[in-house]
Amino acid sequence: MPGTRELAFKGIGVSPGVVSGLVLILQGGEEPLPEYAIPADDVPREMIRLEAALIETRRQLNDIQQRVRTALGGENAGIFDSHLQVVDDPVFLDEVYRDIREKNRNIEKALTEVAERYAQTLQQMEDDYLRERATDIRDVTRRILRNLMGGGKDWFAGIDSPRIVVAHDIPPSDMAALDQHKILGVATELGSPTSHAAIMARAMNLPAIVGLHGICQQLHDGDRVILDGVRGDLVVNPTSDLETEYRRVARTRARIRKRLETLINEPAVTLDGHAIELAANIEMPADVKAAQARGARGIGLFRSEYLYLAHDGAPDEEMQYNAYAEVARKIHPDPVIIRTLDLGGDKLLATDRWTEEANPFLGWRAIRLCLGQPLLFKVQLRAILRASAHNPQLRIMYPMISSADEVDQANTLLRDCMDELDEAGKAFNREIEVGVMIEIPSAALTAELIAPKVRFFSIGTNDLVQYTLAVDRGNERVAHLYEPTHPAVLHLIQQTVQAGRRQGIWTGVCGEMAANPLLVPLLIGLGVEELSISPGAIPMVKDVIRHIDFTKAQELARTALTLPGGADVLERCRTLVSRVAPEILELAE
Amino acid sequence: MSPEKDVTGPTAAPLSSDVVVKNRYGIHARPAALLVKTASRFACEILLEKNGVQVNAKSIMGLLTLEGHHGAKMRIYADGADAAEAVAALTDLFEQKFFED
Repeated sequence: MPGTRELAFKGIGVSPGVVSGLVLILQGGEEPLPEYAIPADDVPREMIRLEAALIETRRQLNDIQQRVRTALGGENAGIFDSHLQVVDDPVFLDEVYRDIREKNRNIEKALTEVAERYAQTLQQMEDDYLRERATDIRDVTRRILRNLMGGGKDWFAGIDSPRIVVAHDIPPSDMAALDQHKILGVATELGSPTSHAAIMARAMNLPAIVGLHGICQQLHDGDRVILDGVRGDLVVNPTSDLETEYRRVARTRARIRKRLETLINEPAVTLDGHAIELAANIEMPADVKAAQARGARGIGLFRSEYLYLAHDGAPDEEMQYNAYAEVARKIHPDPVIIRTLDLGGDKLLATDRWTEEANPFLGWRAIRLCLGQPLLFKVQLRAILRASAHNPQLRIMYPMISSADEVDQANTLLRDCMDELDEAGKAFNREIEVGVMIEIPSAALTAELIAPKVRFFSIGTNDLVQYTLAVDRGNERVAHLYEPTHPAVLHLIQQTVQAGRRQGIWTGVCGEMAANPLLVPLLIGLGVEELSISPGAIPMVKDVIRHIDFTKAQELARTALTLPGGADVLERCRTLVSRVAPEILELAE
Repeated sequence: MSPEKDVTGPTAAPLSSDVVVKNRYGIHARPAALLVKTASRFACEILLEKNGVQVNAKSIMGLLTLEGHHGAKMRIYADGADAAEAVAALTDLFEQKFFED
């Protein structure tokens, strides 16, 4: 019912920003599928039409993939690989061609029928994952059809101002087809923070909310709404007071972001002169530039997995060397830490289902897999060593270490590789610094034993919290127990830092905890010297660092270690940050 | 679906190799994509057979419909100039469990 009463809906904010505007509901409205017979003479022309549409489709998909990669990194861009493979599928296309030739009908009809046949087959399968691939096939088909039919429905026909787009679900192809300048924000009934539409919205810098069940029934074209992509609030017919308030929030946030941009070349130093190394986590060499543009001084975590996931299996030494050397040169003279293969667990599981079925996080992954496959591992070690010739600050880091013994084994292989390179006459930095990730409680508890074997620790808080508290935060029934400020976690961090310090090595943090501005003073107070985070979070974190006193941070940490629970710790952290850097709270909360 | 029926080319006899899906989750999207990428590097024709059903190894849609669960027995056929290399490369993918487990 179009009314004037203020109504609020709560979804999941998946792309930050606040906008206010008029609603445009996208539903139904698919163009009718044209169907007509074509004379045999025209068959070649029909095929040329398809070829042209396929070329355009490939171009669009590559373009979206590139856009997502630039904005969000390689991991998210991978979702379009399967779409591209459908467009290139020789058997599928042959069938379409055959259909046109034998049945003398137009390409739109032939394409839809053949694709639908595949989609139906997949949909009937037992495997959930394969059933979902039917969606991919239909989405790609729709995109090809749209290119055949000249752009598809123009949702904005007769509408001259930008709108907040509301839909049941927006497949990525539709999302990308929308004119970015005409959209203020996006709200959907379906979806999760990792759904394609959410990822696209972040890549396009559009505030977005998903999970607003039934919203299409509640809203009408032209309704005035406020969409808060941070809190996940959608308010219909907002009172003028509320609208004023949201405008103020939006203006404030924009002003703060603008100020943060001016910090790019400023050092990450506390008020009382304590310097923190602020580095970036990246996925691929191309990410270095974006990281530096955000003010990163170094790469604290270069995930090498993309090399394995993006290529045909294990990449050879040259391919890896080229990637590592590129990062080493680009970031020079700043440091870069290359983490050895961390595959297994979540990196391989494209659906949540598998996480529930198996126990991959306690399984054969990361350094365990590498020590079990020394030949595979040594290819990577040699590649990293050779890249170290390009940057004396290139470091190597082993993930998922659970004991000092594993470090010995890995270091033995590393020395073997050095001997091999010596024999082959290849250059490398013999003094390369080796570190380990501290992400398993056993490693934190025996940090004293590991420290003599390495030059640095980097705490992977995501896994450390999950392993310490036995909580899978992807499981919504227990997600509330996932508490980075839990006393057990704080004690493990403190123990690691102290053990390292006693033996003269530094400790960094490369998990999400380091990107949470509320927790930054706590980590620094605990003695963490380096924070490595996603490039986007660097300005906020730097701002917090520049607004606190190291002595106050130490005080906070000392108090935190005596508090009974994670909630109390978080409260103290919030109090401190709200006092010294209130603007950051406006952005983070 | 129209799986290809005939694997014999005009020249030499096709090569084949028996493989088993060893990775825990079978041929889901990522392994299928990897298979297609690898197969597409070769000029020869490559088929994958399971329980008498054959699909073109260069077709993502074909591979997905084959339902390669953990433990499934399959046979790789290749026919053409670089068939030997193709069979070796694909067999290796199965052996390496698609670099998963």
